[in-house]
Formats: sequence, C-alpha cells, structure tokens
Amino acid sequence: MSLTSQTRILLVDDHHIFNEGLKRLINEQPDYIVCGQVYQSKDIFQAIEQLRPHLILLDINLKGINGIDIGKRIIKDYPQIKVIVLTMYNQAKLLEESRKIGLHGYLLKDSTTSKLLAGVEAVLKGEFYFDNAVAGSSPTDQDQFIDTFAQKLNLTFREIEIIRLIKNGYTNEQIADQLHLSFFTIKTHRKNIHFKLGLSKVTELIDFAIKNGI
Amino acid sequence: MERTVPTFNMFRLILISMVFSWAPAFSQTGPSETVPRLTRNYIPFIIGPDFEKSSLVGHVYIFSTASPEGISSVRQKSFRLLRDEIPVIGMDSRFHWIRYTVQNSTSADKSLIADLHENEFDDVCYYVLDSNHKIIYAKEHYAGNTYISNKAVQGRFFSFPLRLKPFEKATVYWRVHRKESFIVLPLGLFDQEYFFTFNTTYDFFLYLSLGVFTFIFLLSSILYIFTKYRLLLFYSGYTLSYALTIASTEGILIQYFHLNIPFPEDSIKNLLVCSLNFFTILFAIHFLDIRSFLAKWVYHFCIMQATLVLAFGVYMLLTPLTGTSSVVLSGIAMFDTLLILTLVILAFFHNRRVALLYLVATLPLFFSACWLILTLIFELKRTWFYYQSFPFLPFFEMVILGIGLAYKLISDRNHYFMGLNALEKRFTSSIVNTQDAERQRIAADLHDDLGGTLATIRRRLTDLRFKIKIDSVAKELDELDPLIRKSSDDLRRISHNLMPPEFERIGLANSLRQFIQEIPSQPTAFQFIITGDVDRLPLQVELNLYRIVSELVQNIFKHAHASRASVQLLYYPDLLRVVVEDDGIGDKSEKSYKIVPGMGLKNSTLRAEYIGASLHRDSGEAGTSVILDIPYRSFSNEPDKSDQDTTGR
Repeated sequence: MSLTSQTRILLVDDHHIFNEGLKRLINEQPDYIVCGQVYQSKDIFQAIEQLRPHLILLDINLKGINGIDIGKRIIKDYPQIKVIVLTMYNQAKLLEESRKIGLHGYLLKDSTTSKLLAGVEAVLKGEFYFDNAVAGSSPTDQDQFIDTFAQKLNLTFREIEIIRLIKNGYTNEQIADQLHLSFFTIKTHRKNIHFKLGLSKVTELIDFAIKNGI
Repeated sequence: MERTVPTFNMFRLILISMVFSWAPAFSQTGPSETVPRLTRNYIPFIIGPDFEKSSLVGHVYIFSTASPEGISSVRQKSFRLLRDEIPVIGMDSRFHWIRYTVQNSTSADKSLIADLHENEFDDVCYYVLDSNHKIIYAKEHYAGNTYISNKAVQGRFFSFPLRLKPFEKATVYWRVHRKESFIVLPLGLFDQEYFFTFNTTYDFFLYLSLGVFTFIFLLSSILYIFTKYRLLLFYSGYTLSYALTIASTEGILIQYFHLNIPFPEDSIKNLLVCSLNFFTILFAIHFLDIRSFLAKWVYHFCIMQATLVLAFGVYMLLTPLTGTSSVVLSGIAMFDTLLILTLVILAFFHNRRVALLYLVATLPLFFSACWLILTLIFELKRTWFYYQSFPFLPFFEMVILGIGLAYKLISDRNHYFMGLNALEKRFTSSIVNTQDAERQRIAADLHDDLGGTLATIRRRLTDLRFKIKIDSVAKELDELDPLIRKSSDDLRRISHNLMPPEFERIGLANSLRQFIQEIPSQPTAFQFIITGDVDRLPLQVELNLYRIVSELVQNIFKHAHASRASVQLLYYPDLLRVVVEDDGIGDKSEKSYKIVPGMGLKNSTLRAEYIGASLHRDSGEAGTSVILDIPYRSFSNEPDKSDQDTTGR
C-alpha cells in the first residue's frame, strides 16, 4: 500500500468533461484521491500497472470495447482491485451482467454525488453496490402493469376478451365481428392462446376459462 | 410428305458445304475412265401396269465428256452404271450424259414424266430415242432460269414427257452441264397422273412451311419492335434467311418472281447461305447467352466471324463464281459449325436447358449432314428418304427454337424481375442501414456525450447547492434540479428510441422489455409478454424488429388514445411472432397519423420486408392489432453478416 492512507481511485471514461468533473468531486473528499485518468481503453492496463489503484470507476461505453468485458479482465488479473461500473446506461440487463461476472458495483452517471460516494464507500468496505434506480432492476418497477391477473397468466387484455367470447360459444367469425377485427387476426390470437397455455383443444380452453373465472 | 427435293443449299450448310468441298475429291475417282464398270449391256427399266414412280436405281448410266458432242456420237460411247439412288457427281464442269432405257410391258399407252429434281443447272438437254436410235423427242438448252411457261412440263425443275406405246421401248438421254458448282442428279420417273398429284401435294406443304416461316418472321419482327429484345431480331433474320434460301433453292424466286437481278442465281444463293450463316451465329451466341459464361473476346470473335461470313457472301455475289470461292465458303461454314458446336457444349455446363433445346433443334440437321459425310467417305448408299427430310429439318429447327425463344423470353423476364427485386432489396437495405447507422451516431452523440455533460452539470450544481448558505438562492437551485433531471431523462429516452445502448449485448427481448417498462403508464398502460424459449436472432433482424415495435408503440402512445396496449414476443418453434395491440380508436386515428408521422408505418413495412417478415395490420373500432411473423428459415441459410456498422460498439 502507499504511504498515505488515501484510497487511490483510477477513472476510466472517454468523456473528458465527465472525467474531469468526477476527478474534481473525488479529490474534494479527504479519503480519496484520483491517482489517474484514462480516456482510452488501450491505456487501462498500463495505468493499472503503474498506478496500482485500489478502485476503478469504469465506463461501459469505451471506444472499441465494452467496459464490462474490461472489468472482467481486471478482476481476473488483479483480484485485489475493486471495480465499479459508472455508466449512462440505465439497463437492467447490463447491471445483471456486471453482477454476475463479479464486478463490485453498478452506478449511474446521473446519480447524485452522495449516492455515488455511498457506492464507492460501500464497495471499499467489501460490499457490493448496485444502483436500484436502474430501470427494471427492482421489483417495484413491475407495478406499472395494471392487469396483474392477465400478467400472471401471460395473457393480454385482448386475449382475455377472446377467451371469454369462446367460452360463451362464439365462433371465430362472430368474435371477429364483435371485436371489429379480421378473421385472420382472431385465428392468430387463438393459436397464440393455445401456444401460451399449452392447450390443444377448445374444451380445455373453456375449462381453463371457467377455472380462472374469465 | 412424299418424295421431296434434294435441296442442297437449303440445309444448314456447314457440314453440308464441307461435304461439297470434299465431294470433288471423291467423285473424280469415278467419272468415265474406269474401265471395269463400263458397259454396253444396259438393263432396261420395265414399266408394269401399276407403275407410279421410281428412282431408276440400277438403270441409270453416265458418260462424262469435256467436248460438246452431239447425241449421235455420244450414244455409241460406253456408259458407266450409277449405283446410287441420288448420284453425286461433284464439282465437274464437263458435260454429263445420262441414259436410261424404259420399256412398257403393258398393252396400254403410258404417259410418263422423266424428272430431274434439281434446278441448278446451266444447261439441260433431253432426248428420247426409240429402239432404232431415232430421236423421237428432243428439248435442248434448258436452264434453271427458263420460265415455267416455256417448259415442256410446267414445274420448277426439269421435267419432260415420255410417252410409250404398248410394249414400246425407248431410251432417254439427258445432258447436264454446270459451271463451277456441284452436281447432284436426283433422277426420277413418274406416271404422269401421279406426278401432278405428287407435285400439288408437295407444293402445298412447301408453301405451307414458307407461310409459317413468313408468319414467324413477321411476328418476331413486330415483337422486336415492341420489346427491343435483340434475340427476336436475330430470330426473325434467321427465319427470313431460311425462307429465302428455301424459296431460292426450290426455284420459287427465279421461276415465279422473275426478279430482274443483275447477278447470277448461284451467287444469290451463296449470299443467302452466308446470311443464313450470319444469323445462325448471331442467334446462337445470344440464345446461348455466351457472354454470361465466356470471356468478352469470344463474343466479339463470334460477331466478327459472323460479319466476315456476310462480307464473304457479298464478295461472292459481286465476283464470278469459282470453285475456289465455293471451297472457301465450305471451309468457313465448316469452321462456323464447329464453333457453334463448341459453344453449345460449353453452354451445356452453364445453362443446361437452353443448350439442350438448341441441340435438340439442330441435331436432326446436324445428323443428316454427318450422315451425308459418312455416305461420301464410306460410300454408303444415299436414298430418297435422306432427302425427303431436308426441307422440313429447318422447319423443325425453327419451331423448336421458337419454343426455346419463348421459354427464354419468359425466363429472362423473370430474371429481369428478380434482378429488379434484388435491386429493390438492396435499395431497401441501404435505406434501412443508412438510417440505422445515422441513428446510432446521433444516439451515441446524445447519450454518451451530452448525457455525460448533463450528469456532470447536475452533480456540480448539487454540490454548489450545499455550499450556498443563502436560502433563496439554494431554493432556486433546488428548483433547477428537476429541470436538469428531466432533460437528462428526455435525452436518455430520445437516444434509446434512436438506438438502445448495447443492443447487441442485451438482445431484442430485454431491450424491448426495458423500452416498454420505461413508458409512462399514462395514458396507455402497456403490457409486455414473452412466451416460448427465447432465442437470439441475427442482429440485423433483432434491431429491425426493435425499431418496428418501438415505432408501433410510439404511434399507439401518441395517436391511438388507448387505455390498454400490449406487446408480445411469441417464440414458436419455427417462427417468432410479434403482436402489438391496443384498444384505441383504430382506423379513426389513421388519418391523423398518416399525415404527420406516417413515416413510422411506412418505415415499419420497409423494415419488415427487409428482414423477410410478414406484417399484418388489422384496425377496427375496438383497436388495432399488428401481427408480425418472422420465420427462422428466412435467415437460417444466410449467416448473419453482422453489420458492424449499424450496431453497438
């Protein structure tokens, strides 16, 4: 470790303004110091060798390579270094992927300073920090789906309507008339319903409708 | 058709002319000098009660001499037996005396016709001598261009009457002479009645076939005028050359049209043969489309060769006919045949059907010609049957080639349309790809650059806010924060719409899920469903599907006034089905969003077409359904050419 007790942080981001702003912010903190700034992916490993950072704040969007892939290499080659993804990408899938390969955190660039510092602090303590503001990463985001019953059955509002009409003995033509849709569309819907529910017969579908109170 | 004419120039020259060029070599061994065959013991031909026709094989004798002797001295010379049904004398400009003796074995008068079924002689004399060598009938110095009205028996060839009283025996002498050209002697003896019936029938079929040729010629010429399809032009030229060659060989041109052309008839025939050759080459190379599989110089060579032949025909027309030029023409014709044969064989490996058709069309003529060579080399017997087919082989050929031409026209048209489709597809793909590349660039600029800057501004403002102790300023700064937050959200939304970040990594299903989740639940609540085993499709397909769905969703959001909507991805075993629905105002909204962002739907159709998906849109009062089917097989056989330029980094 270095002579000072400060945590050495390496910034990896090709966005100059952001990189500078981040450096300024971090250097304002007494416990942290930015030991280096890297703007291109090809300079990363040389910088790590020379600067021996404790923590790396890593952007995903780097020219020519994906930050997550670089993070994976860093934690493999330097298991003692903490790596936090700091990105504009508000994507649950990317967050999941980062978590899965063992990166230490996932923060959004437009999060507040306090959140950012909280994340760094948590990771340095040995925890993982994944920003729950990332869309879809928390179950609370699901609540915008109003029709929870349909959602549970994986059926759409239109399919529920169609099942109801089938249960009431409507033919495809009658359903098409009723819903002002074409025969082809109704037929396709029925195929889809059977495919989703794993049913092959109309009687099974009617049983299903009765059982689920459609 | 019954017995027909040995019309030599009529067939497709080549091999034929080749044969003729060889003919002198073979025939010259023959003429009169060889002693063993000479005879004075001439076998008479017996006319029975049912006699109709005969080629007189075994009864025809020849004597050739260079001096213009008279009948009285010649008849005492030794004649040689001609064994062939159709004797070929070859190129021999001497006077050829033919004799045969005919005996009427019946007790009735016989009216017969002695016929020489060939009109290309410069001089023909005909004598009938009774058993006492007294001339009882004589016609002298007839030629190919003697008018029909001046002939003893009206016909295009050399026909003379032969009348025999009961049990009478008479000897017929012919003297034929032809300068600088080949001589063939298709002799025949007919019952008069039979002869006229036969000629009428023959002419009927001849004119029918010429009529068909004329019709084909006119039809293809007219079609050419309308379609500008060059093959049709060559075909019409080909047909016309054939028709004229036949007409000229059959003596129709000279006998009936009395054309006052200042050129010898043989020269005109040679010119016609050359033009036929010219069109044969042009037609063949275009019909076989040799440009598609052979080097350019081969095509140009063929064109040059064809032009050369035509030029030689003109040369032959303008200069007196000589044996040398005949041989040169034969050589050229032979070369052309071999050339075309080689091209057909080469074409066979590239366009089997067309080459086969051409071969089928020309084979009968080709084989006839080959057979003619064989008869010359191995002295096989030539029969009337061989000649019978000749006038109709070109007819057969032209009909088959006409069928081939129609087939080619249709298939070329299909190719043309296919080419047009490919072009259209390339055009579509270039529109789609350019759009994608542009969108990605703008998205990257907005999201990564402007987004990063906005995030920095926001954080520094927040930091600043905590440093400021004046409440009123702090409050104003607090009010600023949601604005920056909103601009950053808008930025993100706009750039996501343009191009979802890391799309390649995240995939269609997850990108769409995120996209739908980020849509505010007012005024329309969106539902997103995935069924089946999620499978990654080629990047291009996924990206275009994403764009289609996002355009549909935005249309619903902006124009449909729907309260509920859904987006589904159904991964069937053989296809991916995307269903986008809403319960909005359906078609009523169409007008409004056709005018303003109508580009969206048009774009969706374009993109669907580009990835080979079928797009079905169904709109009614109760909402709109869009069903998109993407069969996996539509791209399984063409590996994804992962267009790096349009997707994530």
